[in-house]
Amino acid sequence: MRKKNTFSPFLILTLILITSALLSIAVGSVFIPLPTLWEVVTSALRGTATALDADGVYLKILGDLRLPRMLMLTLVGAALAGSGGAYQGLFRNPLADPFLIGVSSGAGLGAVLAMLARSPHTQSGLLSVPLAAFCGAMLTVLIVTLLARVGRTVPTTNLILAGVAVSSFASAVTSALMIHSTGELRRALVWLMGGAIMTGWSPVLAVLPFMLIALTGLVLIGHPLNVLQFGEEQALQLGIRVQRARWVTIALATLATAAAVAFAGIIGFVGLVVPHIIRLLWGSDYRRLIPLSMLGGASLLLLTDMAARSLIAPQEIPVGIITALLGAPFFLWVLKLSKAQNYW
Amino acid sequence: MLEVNTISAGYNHKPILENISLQLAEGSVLALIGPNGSGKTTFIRAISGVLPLRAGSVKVAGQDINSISPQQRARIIAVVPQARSFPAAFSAEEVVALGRTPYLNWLGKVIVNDMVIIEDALEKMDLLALRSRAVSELSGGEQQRLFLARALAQGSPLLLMDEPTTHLDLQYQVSLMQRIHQLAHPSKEELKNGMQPKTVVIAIHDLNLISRYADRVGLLVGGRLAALGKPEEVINADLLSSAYNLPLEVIHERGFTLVMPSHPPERIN
Repeated sequence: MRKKNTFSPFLILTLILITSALLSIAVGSVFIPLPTLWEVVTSALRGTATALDADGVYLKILGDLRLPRMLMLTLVGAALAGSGGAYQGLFRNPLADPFLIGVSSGAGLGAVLAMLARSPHTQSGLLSVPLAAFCGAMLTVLIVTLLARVGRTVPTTNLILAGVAVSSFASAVTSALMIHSTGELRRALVWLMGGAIMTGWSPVLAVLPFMLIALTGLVLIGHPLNVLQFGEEQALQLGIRVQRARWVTIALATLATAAAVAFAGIIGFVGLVVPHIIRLLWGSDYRRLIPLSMLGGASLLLLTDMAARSLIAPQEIPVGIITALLGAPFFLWVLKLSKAQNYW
Repeated sequence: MLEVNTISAGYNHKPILENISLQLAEGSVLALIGPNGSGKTTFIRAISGVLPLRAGSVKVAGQDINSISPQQRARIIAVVPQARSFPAAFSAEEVVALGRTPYLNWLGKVIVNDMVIIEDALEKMDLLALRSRAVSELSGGEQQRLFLARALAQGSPLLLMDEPTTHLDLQYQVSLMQRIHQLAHPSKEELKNGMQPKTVVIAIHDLNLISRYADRVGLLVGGRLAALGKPEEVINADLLSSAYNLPLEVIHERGFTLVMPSHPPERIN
């Protein structure tokens, strides 16, 4: 929270995000060079055909596949990193991540249940897995918070412990279900490793309202989170309605995470590491940390997804594996580089 | 300024404070003394509105503190905490700025008026040179001044302090007590500049400092107010000896009042 220059971090990260987004729609099993990309997009916008894309294949790849995937990844990355930053601030715990209070295990259980139901491959059938995952995540967090409640307050320790216990239980149920469902095992496993990014426009449209509410809300709660860094008692003495701030933060971060997980599977590491990188580079004022984390998280996910699609093309590696493979060394490099002793 | 009417408070099923009443006029320093576990911290928490009361009421500047919002409460009561829990990476200035929280909206945007007050609080506590230092890089004495500056930025008429001199060396203890005394008793010039005298309640163990810097002394024993009065009335060998369960003597020497154990402790060889 020391750096004064608030302009440049936003500028830098926005440029990185734009670059990542462009790369993300250019790179894939079919590489579309940037000039061609420009030509195809502008001519499509003008409503004319271009010689570079006579049969309209590029336009189809861009419009039907890469553009919605890019938007989905941007939203998911922003949601995971933004809610990770919020959870770390709320629990004042550097190890807090978006999955801390049961979002991932609940979503996993919901998703596996939906897969076992073998929903038909219609549009609504395809959306049943993300919707079940979303409901599972929200339900689990609700159960965790109700269990952790003491009177009208929810002590942090209780919340984390209840989260761990309920998560273990839900994960055990998920594993048990998977043992008895040989055919669906692979699909569920891929989902749990973050390899289930939904493509096409209808998932993007389905997730958009949740994301807009959650991301906007998370950007706006930076100040109460700053005050909460002094502990709950001091925050109350400084005039913050601590319980309300806490509920709002949990609700927003859970909404963002559940929406992300539902449409992309469980992608670890982004929510844990991106806020720390931002903190190391630009300090821990939550009013900046959260929006900057969102920009960084979106970029990281776009870049890792590109790697996931191209490393052993045409096969796809679940992006969750790549985020950890690339994210961990990068984080350690930043940690080493900064030499910060008291950045947390 | 501060009216405490027969309050009782405690944790779970354990009552700590019972039937405490006291009144404190504007511009005075009340020192709360008493053995460990006598309820000093609980009293500070109860009158700051953090710990719900079992019975009784607390009024500050005519307002019942338990019937107003935390935001309104933070405008009339500022607390300098005992446990210094702080985010290490915040700068001194940012910590002081958060003292303006009760006047800010959810976005925490400070305006020019807030900045003037933050500047003034930093200056009063001699922190201008340290403003951009991280809290974790400050010494114990500087941190204590920092938290006092944050409390000043709250602009409240009442200041509550829980053992602010603990962990400070003698020089910092004296300097801190002087500052507290000055806040309650501003100079004529400061009064002319519109400074309101603060009312201060301070929980403290050092019996020798308070006779010089406190206007009133309250002695808590087992959750009850065993004595309340001017320092010379409460700093009394009989009262203190029974309160601390230790024979004590009060020595008046060259204008100082000193409290010492009656028998020198036996040397262990």
